[in-house]
Amino acid sequence: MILEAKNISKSFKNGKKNLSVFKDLSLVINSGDLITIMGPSGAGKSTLLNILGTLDKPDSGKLLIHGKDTTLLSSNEISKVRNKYLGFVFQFHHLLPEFTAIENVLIPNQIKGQTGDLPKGRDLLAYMGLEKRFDHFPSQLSGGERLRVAVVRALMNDPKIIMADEPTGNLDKFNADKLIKLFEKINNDFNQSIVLTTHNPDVASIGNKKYNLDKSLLSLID
Amino acid sequence: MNFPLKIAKRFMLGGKGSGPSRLTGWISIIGLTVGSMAMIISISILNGFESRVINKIIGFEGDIRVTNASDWKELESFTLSLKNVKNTISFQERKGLLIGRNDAQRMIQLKSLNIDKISEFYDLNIKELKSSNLPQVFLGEMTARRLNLNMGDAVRLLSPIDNGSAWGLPIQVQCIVSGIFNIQVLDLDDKVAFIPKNIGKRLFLRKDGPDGLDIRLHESSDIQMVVNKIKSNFPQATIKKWSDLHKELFSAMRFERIGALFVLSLIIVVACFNLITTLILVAAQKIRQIGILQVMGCSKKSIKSIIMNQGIMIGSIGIFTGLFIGVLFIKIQNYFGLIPLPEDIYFISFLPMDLYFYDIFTILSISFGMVILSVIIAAKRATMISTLEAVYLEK
Repeated sequence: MILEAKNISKSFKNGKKNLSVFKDLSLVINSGDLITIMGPSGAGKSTLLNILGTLDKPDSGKLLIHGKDTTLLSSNEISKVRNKYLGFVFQFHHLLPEFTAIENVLIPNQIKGQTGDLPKGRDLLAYMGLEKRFDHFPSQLSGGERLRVAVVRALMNDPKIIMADEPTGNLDKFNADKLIKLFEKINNDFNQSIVLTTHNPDVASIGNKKYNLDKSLLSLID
Repeated sequence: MNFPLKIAKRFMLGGKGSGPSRLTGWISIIGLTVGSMAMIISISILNGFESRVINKIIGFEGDIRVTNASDWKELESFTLSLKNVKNTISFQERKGLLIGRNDAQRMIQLKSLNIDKISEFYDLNIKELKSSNLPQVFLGEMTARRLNLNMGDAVRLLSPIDNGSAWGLPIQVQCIVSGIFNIQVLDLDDKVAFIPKNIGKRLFLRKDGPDGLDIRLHESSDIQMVVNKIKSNFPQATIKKWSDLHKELFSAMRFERIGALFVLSLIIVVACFNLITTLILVAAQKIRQIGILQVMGCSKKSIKSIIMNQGIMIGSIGIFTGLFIGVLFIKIQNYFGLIPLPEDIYFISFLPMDLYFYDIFTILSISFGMVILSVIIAAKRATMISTLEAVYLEK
């Protein structure tokens, strides 16, 4: 078990009203899991993913990553946990426009305090079919290419889990299919755990554990 | 290169996506350049005038003045035996009255000394009459003008406190104006008249022997050492350095320096306000990048460090450019004298500029102190951005 969310609840205040997103939600992520979380827009998929990824804190409950309760850690310690154990892919690529593809990919290594594993970065970009794009700036890449660079970046520190928040949401069908196949390939080739949120049933179908989040309830589909 | 510095450098010079922060960054650099340049040039002008005034005063009075000694001969021979001492001259002085043409009168300090040594010891910028066997007096240009006297004119001198005649009247001595000196600093041209020792003896009857000894050194920096040596051998004597004799003037000059530094620092303060704005703008403009760096595990401390590195880079470029241009300007001015001055008003023909290491150190300390304060404020503001807010800004 890599990650365990125990009875986590989250609500937002809207004026005087308390809007509950989910209550007493529990989830376990094991090595090699490809978890998809489906649900309509506004169901709280991103909020759940942000909590699982330590980007947000639950109102109550525990989030254990490698047995450590992250809700008790300081901001600095949480940053270290994120850098070491988690990789993120968002709907928007979020590459740094001032850096080339290969430089973007090496940033997680450098945050860790390393110089950057250049051969590994190049190998992973080539694995994604981006061998001719090493020195291209994000503005010189297509939307699909940018997202693939973002996936490589998420893989650079050998994370235990990749958190992907609606990664295909901004892509055309061709590029979306390509990216989804890539996630499956990474999951198979590296036994990489992935948690993916989507509102697209086709994308959700790739999961070996498929969840649905609706009306504050997380349920396993099959 | 460390990670925050690498990111800061790209954020500033990255070109693509730098946007308006690049322009405001340059404006901040220009502001700091102007500020540090203005400080360095102004301080060097103050230094230049100050050192010329000090040189004029030391030239007129010597480095050290000893009064109230008992054995003047022993004092003089001891002083001359010190290797740091270049020359000495003993003198008598009284308040005296000068009566010029049409009975025009002026009270002045009469300084009686070995008149043959006057040009050797003092730096008076003096115009002398070639040869004269008549009793001589050397006047300052201002005194000569007030009494309407020219070279070769007769002038009567008397010392009112020395009663020489049976009627209780002071003795009058007629002299020829044999030299007119021109110092142009303070009231020195209207303060003292130099007379030969034999005239002094005729005028100053109340007390025999010297009233003081002026001492000139090879190097002014040895002054305290010489003072200490004289003091230990002649403890009863009153020993004053040139700075003791003109305390008010030098404290005024010091105050002027502090005032100038304070006022000119305001340029740096304004430039630093701009720097804060630039850094906050950078943080706002790079909000997505800052957000994703945090997502990847970059700590708030590192984000702070990125903004601080960027601020310090802007500050360093601005301050050192200003310093370089300022020093270059000073060198060019001192070499070519590009900015002339009317010599009859300022006693020098071009704008004087002197720069000392401690001035550079002071200006660097003030400038960098303000820059560091600014970057701390801006960096603190930048880390208040929420990671989630930054990442989902465009969603």
